[in-house]
Amino acid sequence: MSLVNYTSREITCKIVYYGPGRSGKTTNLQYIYSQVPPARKGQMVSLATQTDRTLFFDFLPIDLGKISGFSTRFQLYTVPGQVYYQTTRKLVLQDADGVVFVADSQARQLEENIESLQDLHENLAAYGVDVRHLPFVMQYNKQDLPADLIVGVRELDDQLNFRGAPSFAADALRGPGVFETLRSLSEQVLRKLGGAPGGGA
Amino acid sequence: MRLDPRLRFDSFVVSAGNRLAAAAARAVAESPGHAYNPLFIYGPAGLGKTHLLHAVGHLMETLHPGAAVEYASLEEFVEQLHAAVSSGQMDGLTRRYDRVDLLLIDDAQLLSGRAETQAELLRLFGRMMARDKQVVLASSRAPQDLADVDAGLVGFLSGGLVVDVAPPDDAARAASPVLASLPSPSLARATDSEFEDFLSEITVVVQQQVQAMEAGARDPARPARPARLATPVAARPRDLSWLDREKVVWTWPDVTSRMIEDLR
Repeated sequence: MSLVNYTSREITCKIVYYGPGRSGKTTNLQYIYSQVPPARKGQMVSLATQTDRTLFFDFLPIDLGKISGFSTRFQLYTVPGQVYYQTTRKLVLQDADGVVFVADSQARQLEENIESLQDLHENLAAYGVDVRHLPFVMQYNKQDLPADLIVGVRELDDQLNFRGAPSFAADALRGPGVFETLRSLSEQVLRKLGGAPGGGA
Repeated sequence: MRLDPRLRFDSFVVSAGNRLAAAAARAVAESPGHAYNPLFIYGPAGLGKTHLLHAVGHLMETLHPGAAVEYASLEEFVEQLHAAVSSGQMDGLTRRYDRVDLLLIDDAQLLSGRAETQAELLRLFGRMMARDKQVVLASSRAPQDLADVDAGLVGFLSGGLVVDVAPPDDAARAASPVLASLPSPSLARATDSEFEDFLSEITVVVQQQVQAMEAGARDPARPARPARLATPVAARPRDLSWLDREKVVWTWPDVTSRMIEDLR
């Protein structure tokens, strides 16, 4: 749930990037980090193994400044995609205001995408959260790879996006699709604050 | 807001991309209210617009001792306006700004979607013009590119001199250790614009939601929504699942340990 603190006039939104291992969640945050002016961002904390896989999670705070008198902050998290870190993944998901599911567009990763999506639903359900009532965006990363290696956006929508969430093709390494994804989810999250339709519950 | 003593003309690196803006800024400080009024400087973030605003203020104070100089970001002006309206002190704010000889407004692109602020600024600018007082604004966008801004205000902002700032050339970058540490001009342009676009759009959404929340709070006919207040960290239920083997095996760096303690 978004934290709207009327006393200190602060809005804090927690956004979690979810998806299978090596799908590009950390790369999304690294690209965002590289684009945000220094004064607007905190230190990006990444805990990675010696082989550079995310062991625990990445955390990137972004300060959007005062808007209508409210200090507005986004906190972006990734979860470790590897199957072993189920407990960590579930815990990072707690109190998320919105989720970006970063799918790996490579054809050979389709099963991992589906498993991770099921894992997301289970973890949300454990917190009593129905994904239909949560701001949610699909990102199909690595669409820059050769066409014979990847699954197209339409087919990925058919396979993964049965709830019809906004979906974006992306190349997180170079940036296309990264801010479009964040913008779409941020708008959904923020529109829930005033109770407007379009943001879920 | 006080002028930053470091941001003066003698510390401003002039390049082909900002020469006209720098010359115009100097001219309005030397001849306020007569050279270019208003002066509107626009361009991507990080190219010295705020520096020029402060430099105009300093030079004005040097050349015209006793002149009243006021610098405010658009957000600060909005906050002053809200505070004045909510406390019934609007006359005080009006009197304060009517005494100003040079008004410097930063981040003018944040005018988008703020009808009340636009109306108040248009009235203020009108009074200042009538008395030949100087207005200088900085923005990431040109007046005609400001979305959801009153046409009359756009006309006023475009009515003096509108000048852009562009990324510095290689010689200017080499002359400045600060500029030299920045990404290449093309990368800087892409960087600024992508985040600025994101910020502008999100700002409008937050403004709408805050207005909706506050309107809801004022509407006695609307059923009360449960307040969604921040839960103090200490009051959150402690989730002992942190104490599993995934955590125990890791030697946490200090900063991360602190963050994890906050989350617990």
